Amino acid sequence: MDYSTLDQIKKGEVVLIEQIQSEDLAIQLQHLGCVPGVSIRLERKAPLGDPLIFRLDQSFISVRLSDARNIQVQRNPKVAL
Amino acid sequence: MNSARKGGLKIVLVGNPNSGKTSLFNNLTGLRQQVGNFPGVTVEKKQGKFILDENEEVEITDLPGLYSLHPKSEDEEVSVNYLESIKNKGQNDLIVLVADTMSLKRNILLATQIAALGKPMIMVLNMMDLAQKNQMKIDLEGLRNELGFPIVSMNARIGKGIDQLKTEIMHFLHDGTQSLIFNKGPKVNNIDDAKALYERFVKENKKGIATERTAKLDHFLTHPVYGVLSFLFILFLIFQAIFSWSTVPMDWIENGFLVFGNWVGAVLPTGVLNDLIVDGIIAGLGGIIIFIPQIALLFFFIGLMEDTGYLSRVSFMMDKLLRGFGLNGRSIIPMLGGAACAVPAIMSARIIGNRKERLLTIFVTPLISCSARIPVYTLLIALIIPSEMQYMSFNLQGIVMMSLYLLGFIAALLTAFFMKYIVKSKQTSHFTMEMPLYRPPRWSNIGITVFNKVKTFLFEAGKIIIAVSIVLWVMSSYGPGDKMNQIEQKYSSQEISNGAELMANEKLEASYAGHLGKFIEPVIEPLGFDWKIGIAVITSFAAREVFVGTMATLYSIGDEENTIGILDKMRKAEDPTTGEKIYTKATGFSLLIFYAFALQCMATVAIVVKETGGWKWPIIQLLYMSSLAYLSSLMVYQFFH
Repeated sequence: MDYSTLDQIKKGEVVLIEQIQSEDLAIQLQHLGCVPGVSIRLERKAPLGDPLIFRLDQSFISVRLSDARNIQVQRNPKVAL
Repeated sequence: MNSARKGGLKIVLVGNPNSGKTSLFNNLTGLRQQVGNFPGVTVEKKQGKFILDENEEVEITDLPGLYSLHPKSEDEEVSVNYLESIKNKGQNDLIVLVADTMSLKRNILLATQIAALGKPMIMVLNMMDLAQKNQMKIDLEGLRNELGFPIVSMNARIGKGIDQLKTEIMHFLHDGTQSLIFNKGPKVNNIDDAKALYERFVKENKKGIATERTAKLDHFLTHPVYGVLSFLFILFLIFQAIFSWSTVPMDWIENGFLVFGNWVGAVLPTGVLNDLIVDGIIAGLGGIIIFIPQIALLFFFIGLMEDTGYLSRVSFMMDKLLRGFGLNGRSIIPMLGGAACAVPAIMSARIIGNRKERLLTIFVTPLISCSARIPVYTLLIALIIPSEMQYMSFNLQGIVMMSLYLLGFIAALLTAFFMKYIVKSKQTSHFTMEMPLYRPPRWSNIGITVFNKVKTFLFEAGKIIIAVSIVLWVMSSYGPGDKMNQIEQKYSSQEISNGAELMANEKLEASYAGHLGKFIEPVIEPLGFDWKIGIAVITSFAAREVFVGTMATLYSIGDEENTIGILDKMRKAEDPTTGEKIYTKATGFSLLIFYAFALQCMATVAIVVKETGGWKWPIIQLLYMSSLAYLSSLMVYQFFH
């Protein structure tokens, strides 16, 4: 298994959310349907390189790089988006 | 009909932000809405009524968007508190949960949480148009049987599904509450349970057209080059509309008021009351109504950006930049709104979860040039810059106007930057936000918002203007002692050319208003303001736009025929002793800067008291902005003089 954090992934890459470090952040992400076990894809970066837009299911969410650093992900998951 | 029910039915609309609650609310109520002082803000609950059937009148409340029953920002708190308050009382409440079908999975979780409150509930699956575009197929019957509450599919944008919702509400009225209460016990404890249900009852195309379309649009609209250029282009377009296209209806209104004023003046018997109505109230109101086209256009464009989903992208693009100034990407929403009116804009700062960022946003939003400054800017710019002047084929008046907006924005950013080191906070800051799918604008929705906002602006400003006009008129028509009578006698005993005008000026100087203006003249003289401007600065302390009305009143007194506009009168104004023009470039620019920075708005002070929960921040804000205005004007006047 190849583990990393969400700020490290490439544009277009699909990863599986493993764990969210900050509880505060975990609650906010949970409201948007982003919880451990969900696969998400990096869609694009803001013009200044931060924040990022991710796609999960049929919705798009934005997350800052500093928050993405606190989200552990599994790369090359067997599931597609 | 259920006999246990007393009084009318009360419907509560809840759901995620952007789920189309307000669209449904507008569709049901039309213009039968009770709106607060400053309507259209999605951060306060809204109430309205509609006729269901058999003349059954239903009360309906639209709550701010929420994601769960654990609020993370102030607007969500409003909703959760409201739901908690109705939890244990009243049998007339019916919750209607509006869910964006495109994010049904997490909405199943929210629906079961809300149903667990024990209130009857109907779930509305909105945005069926997008779902169909994405080839989503939902087994509504199966889902309904599993969850235990009615589910209605809807496209609130075009009113599809509204009848079915009304039928379900009728069922509730006739069969009583039991059928709608989620009484099978929660089967859904977490997002995984919701996911399992979702996969059982929903079939979808993973590469849906609506989602792909949004991805494609974002590729362009948030692109490092094209995205930024499109945003600038949109801003330019808004400017163009506000300051160029709106001149046609504005001319109609101005001429209409001149004709109307003259007609009233001729019909009413001459005397004190005639002067008050024509010179005071009609002139004052005309000074405001003329700006309705501009204000409506501004609200229209902001509504359009919000409704299509574009405003979220603007926040997204601005987040990193604004963070450097101690703000948040979301701050751009109050700041853009501040260009229309600071009051609803300051309320909309509730969407910012972090307290420090929210406070800073509230603090700097009044520095953004609002629509109440438009009348003041337009008048002063027209006064000091000839309309035919060009600079590199651009109209110079337009350039000055644009610079004033830019100046306000820069002042707001710099102020936030300094405040960031003064205000302390340990709270972490995030920009975890949904980027809604793009959709075509709901024109009627935007129309209702614009209508409500213009109406309130007119009434709120109108009240102040009529009151100030009356007080001002009394103060400028009467004076202490016998001086006023002496002046009248002096002029009646001799024939002087221009006599009426000279007499009016001398009388104004001898009046109470004149004394007040003379009293503060030493303080404002270094800024290039004379005592007449002093009167206007005082009267416009409660609301900036009163400046124009005051000028209209001050310069109308003595103009018997009421033939020329206020602009020409001000242009002709001279110092009676030296004969120098009063409105020079130096004085004009000094006044412009003064009005750009000064917090001349009681409504803003009141809302900041409410939103920050005390007098500390509004007082600091008032002192800061007044000092900034005074010092900047001083520098500008001394530089040009």
